Amino acid sequence: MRPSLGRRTWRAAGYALGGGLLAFLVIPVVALFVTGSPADWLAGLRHPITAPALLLSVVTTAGSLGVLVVFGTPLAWWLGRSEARVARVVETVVQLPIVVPPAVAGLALLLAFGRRGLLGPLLQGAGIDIAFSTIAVVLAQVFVAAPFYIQAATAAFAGIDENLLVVARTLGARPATVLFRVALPLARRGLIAGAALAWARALGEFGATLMFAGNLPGRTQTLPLAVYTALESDVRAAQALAGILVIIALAIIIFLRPRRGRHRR
Amino acid sequence: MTVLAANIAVRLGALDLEVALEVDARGLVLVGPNGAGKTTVLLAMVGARRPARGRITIADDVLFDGAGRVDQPTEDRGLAYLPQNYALFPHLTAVANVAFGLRGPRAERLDRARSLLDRLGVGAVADRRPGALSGGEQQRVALARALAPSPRAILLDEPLAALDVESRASVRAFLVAELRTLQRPFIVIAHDRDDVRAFAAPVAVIEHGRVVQRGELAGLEAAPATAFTARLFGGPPPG
Repeated sequence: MRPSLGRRTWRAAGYALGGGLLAFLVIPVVALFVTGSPADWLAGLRHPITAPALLLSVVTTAGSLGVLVVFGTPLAWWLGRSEARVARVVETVVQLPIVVPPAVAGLALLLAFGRRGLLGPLLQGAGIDIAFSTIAVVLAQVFVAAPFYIQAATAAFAGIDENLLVVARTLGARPATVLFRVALPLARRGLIAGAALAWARALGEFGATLMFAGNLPGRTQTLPLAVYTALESDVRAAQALAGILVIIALAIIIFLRPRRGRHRR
Repeated sequence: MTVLAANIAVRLGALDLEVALEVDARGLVLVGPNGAGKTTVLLAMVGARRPARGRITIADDVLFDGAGRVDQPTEDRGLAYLPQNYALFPHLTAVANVAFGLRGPRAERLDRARSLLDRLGVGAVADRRPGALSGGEQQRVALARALAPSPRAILLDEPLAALDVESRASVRAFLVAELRTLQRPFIVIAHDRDDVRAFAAPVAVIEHGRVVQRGELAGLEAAPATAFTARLFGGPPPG
């Protein structure tokens, strides 16, 4: 009897601990949706701060995702296929934005690309003023989201059997053809997953944006910054904006849920 | 008669490979212990591993020359390569795999690929993906894909290793017959005594990156130069 009782106690304790954390994670999200009436939601969505912030978030995250895919895919290809030691070093460096606090990232961006930053004189000489512009929003998003795309894309490319690439070449395919007809289709699942995660991270970007781009309505005030601003004047608007972000986040999680690969061998 | 010749040195991690091989339409069977460098020889020939020095030619065409700075890209060498795992493109159907190496309008390429699969006895599975094929079927599809662009020579890395005992003998007979009809130089890596005999071609033994013995099968069986060769052919150990 004793061991069975002990086991039951342990199991109950396990349920209580795990369930407690689960409740802690779910309750705030539920609160976000149940504490406002539909009328409040409607009012929040019609609030003047909402539409520009939503539009700016859509535009800037599309931009940062585009930059990431165009610049990040070749880098991930090299990281995934190279056996050079320097590739492993670069792989670690690329992870840096995950562990750097976003506010620190924003400050670092400012000190690098701001008017009085490291590259400031150079950029000003070329007539480019990045800080506190929409471009700065995109750059902040690229900085914080890059590891998520590069990591997933690197793993996807590293998982391709080298023989497939060699055989494709022996069949007369140029490197570019091999990339588009063999490598990218095989890495597709990982690339899309990485892009979705990176996009979600870019959409939620707050700290680095605030430091490097400021909080200017219509220019740098994205959805998360709008939530922060609206909270000071109109909780309903903040809540509606937050609701939009959570719904998008849920959609991404459902989209990314583990599925059985069809092509895997 | 077309001859494929390689006289190359390749350094790759712990592997220090230095071999000179020549093969005509009679073919060549490469044997040797794991890690001896057999696969690396084939990869260097197709241009997937760059030799430190040496020369690779087929007929009068120089594919690689370390001194003359010739290094034709893989796609221009016209050599077919069949890796041990066949490396069929998992996202393409069998017929699309075969059509990959063909040129011309899409419909025409697929037609040619389909008739090639028919000829090799796997027309029935043309529209299946590799994951849904048996080992023997995969091997035939891979062979069809390798032959489709009319390669000047064909390099096979343990083409029978992935097969079970039942299909092995029939696939082997089929493969040997195909290679004979082809009348092109071929190199096949083998591990199994029966396989080596079936290809009925000159044999080269590679150990630790060097060719330690070469010649006709009968000669190797009668007088194996190393313990490995003796074990493989079951002859008397070297004296």
